[in-house]
Amino acid sequence: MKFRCERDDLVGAVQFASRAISNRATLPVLSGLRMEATEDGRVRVAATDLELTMETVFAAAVDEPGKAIVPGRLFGEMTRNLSSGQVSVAGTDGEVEIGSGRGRFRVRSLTPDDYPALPIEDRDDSAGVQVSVNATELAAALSQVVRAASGDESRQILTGVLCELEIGSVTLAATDSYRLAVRTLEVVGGPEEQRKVVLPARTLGELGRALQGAAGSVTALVKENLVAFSVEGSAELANEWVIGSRFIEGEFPKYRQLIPDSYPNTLVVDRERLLEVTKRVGLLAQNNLPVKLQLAAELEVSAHTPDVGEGQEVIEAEYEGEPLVIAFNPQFLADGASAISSQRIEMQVGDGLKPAILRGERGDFTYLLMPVRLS
Amino acid sequence: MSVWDPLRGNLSIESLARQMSADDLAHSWLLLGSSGSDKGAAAVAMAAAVNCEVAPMLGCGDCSTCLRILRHRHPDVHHVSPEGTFILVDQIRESVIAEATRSPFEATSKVFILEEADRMNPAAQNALLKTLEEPGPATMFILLSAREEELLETIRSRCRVIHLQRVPEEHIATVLQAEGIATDKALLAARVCEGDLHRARSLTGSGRAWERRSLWLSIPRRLTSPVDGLDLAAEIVNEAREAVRDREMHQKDEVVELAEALGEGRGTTSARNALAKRHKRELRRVEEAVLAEALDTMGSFYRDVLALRSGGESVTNLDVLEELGGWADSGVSDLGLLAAVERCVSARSALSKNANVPLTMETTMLELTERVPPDSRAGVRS
Ligand SMILES: [Zn+2]
Repeated sequence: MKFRCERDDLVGAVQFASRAISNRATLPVLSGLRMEATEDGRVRVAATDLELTMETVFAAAVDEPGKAIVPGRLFGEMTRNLSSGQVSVAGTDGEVEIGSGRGRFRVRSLTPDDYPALPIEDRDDSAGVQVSVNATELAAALSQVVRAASGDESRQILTGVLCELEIGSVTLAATDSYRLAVRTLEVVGGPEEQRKVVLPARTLGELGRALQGAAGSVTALVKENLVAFSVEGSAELANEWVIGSRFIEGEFPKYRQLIPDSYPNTLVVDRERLLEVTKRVGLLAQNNLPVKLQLAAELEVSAHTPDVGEGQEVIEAEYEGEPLVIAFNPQFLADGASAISSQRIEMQVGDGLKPAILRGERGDFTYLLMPVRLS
Repeated sequence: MSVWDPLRGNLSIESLARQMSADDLAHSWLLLGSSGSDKGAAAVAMAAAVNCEVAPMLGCGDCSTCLRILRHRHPDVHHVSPEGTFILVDQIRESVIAEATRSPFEATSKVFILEEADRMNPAAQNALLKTLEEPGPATMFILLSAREEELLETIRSRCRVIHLQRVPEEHIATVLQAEGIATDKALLAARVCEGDLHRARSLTGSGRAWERRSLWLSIPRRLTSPVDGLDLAAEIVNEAREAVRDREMHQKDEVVELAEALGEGRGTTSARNALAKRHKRELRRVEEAVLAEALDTMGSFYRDVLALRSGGESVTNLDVLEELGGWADSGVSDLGLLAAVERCVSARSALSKNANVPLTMETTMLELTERVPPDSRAGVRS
């Protein structure tokens, strides 16, 4: 492998792929970045921790096509510290040489034979379902849903996000059994028969990061054992990338039956107000104590922690229903309110013990929140 | 060529290969056999056979998938082995359960090979059981054990049980000779290794294993008083510590290698800690292996004396036949010899359950002095 390229292109690609580098002692080669230069003047840079695979490509003058596995961290540090301008990279037996200006750096490379095959590179879509979706919409949907996934490793399925794919739409759902976030968004394409997969929240978090500032559309190719999200680049290949993820296998909870059709009590408040008051009052809800919401013509939010302090604040509201009291974990309430993008929030409540529903003015997002039982 | 080639001659493994090639698969397998039965190699061959793309269910042994599986470098073939005395529930959760809930990375089937599965403590076995009861699609579990009785019945009943035979003595001798070991040494090693090819290789290899064996064989003769017993116990324990020190040197190289692969800095600490933890447990295992070697060899010495008295067909330690003959002619009682053999076996099992090392060795030596009293061996040539 031998190519010449711009330092910035190389650094950008290396930084992107490095996010998936793994320090697993069982497969030391995963601490490396896989670089492959092809005859058509492209250099692919990829890394995987087996759960998450990230690959990107940039344009280069390829003198000798080939592959090399370079030590990820060291290579990243070295390229970042090169001065800008043209850089040459050459892989020989067991070594990679970087040339920049009058500098020559040689680092030992890792055994290419040990590197796993990367199934995201198999772009044959005949065996899978392909959809495309607006990048900005997907990024927004991920930020709404991913945070509701569980961090508790003992129930793996809840550490994932359920994706229900059908023609024209995808529904994302996540729950940690205290709250549930569900978002539907439009897609182009989709399977005849609904296809459900559960993706690790962590990989979707990385996808959300990569989508920041992306315009245009994202293509998702769902195959038997993985999904690959890809973004097409410009003619210079800038910003072209693929992120792949394995599935979490198992039965995701049947979340639809948890969402009641409707409740008799409906509160409408300003979203910003609810968010700032929850944060302020929430400071006095320590030791896992909840914030208390008194729903009436106005909304009173209060908290009390013995030996710490107490606080309450009133928010003007529109309310239809019986006056009632319900209490929530302040963080989970704030998460729900900040996930909603509209100016006003609708909160539907059954009684103080049934889960409450938070919705925005658009009907595409639902946040279900378990109340905390007041003693 | 096939992944099964190096295992030819072992009839039970050949039958296993036939089951696989006939697509007669189970979700969970339990391969039972002593350490010489090649069950580890058989499990790896099974993993390659189910995943080989060139020769599905056979395992070509030559494609990238087969080669990486044989080298233990495949992302979908997971090796779980005790890092200390036991396989604990945390290890099962991290290395098995979390992985088992993921779709395969690149292979047709994920394979989990649990070496020395009997070392799972009951909590770990119960955690595994839930996964065995509801295996995801494309998942195969292969449990390896030499001590079936330590496994919960509920685990055993979930598995297809395969009993593997030891590797025949002649086969081992042929293999060693083919590897360039002189005929005399190859024959003797094949005899004393108890069907364990790896043990035979280590005996004929460059390490201290052969010297250590001579040391172990000298112990019954040197055990002439309780004071000697305590000295010899210390000698054995020291020998084990020596092996631990050798291992430590090797581990230092590994630490350097890891540092080269990872570089310094953020995020590398957990990998370093994991390695340090593994190293610590590994040292405990090295120590236990040497002590087990000592007890096994001493046990085989006493058993040989009994064997000589009843005709001598199955004598193991042919190189000390003359000394064994002297013991057989002496006044040592059969019952005493039997008790000595038993004591060696029970001490080994106590050590595998984390017993205090110096204390176990001391009480064992004292008991051997008592069961095979030095004065009953009067006249034994040495
Ligand atoms: Zn193969």
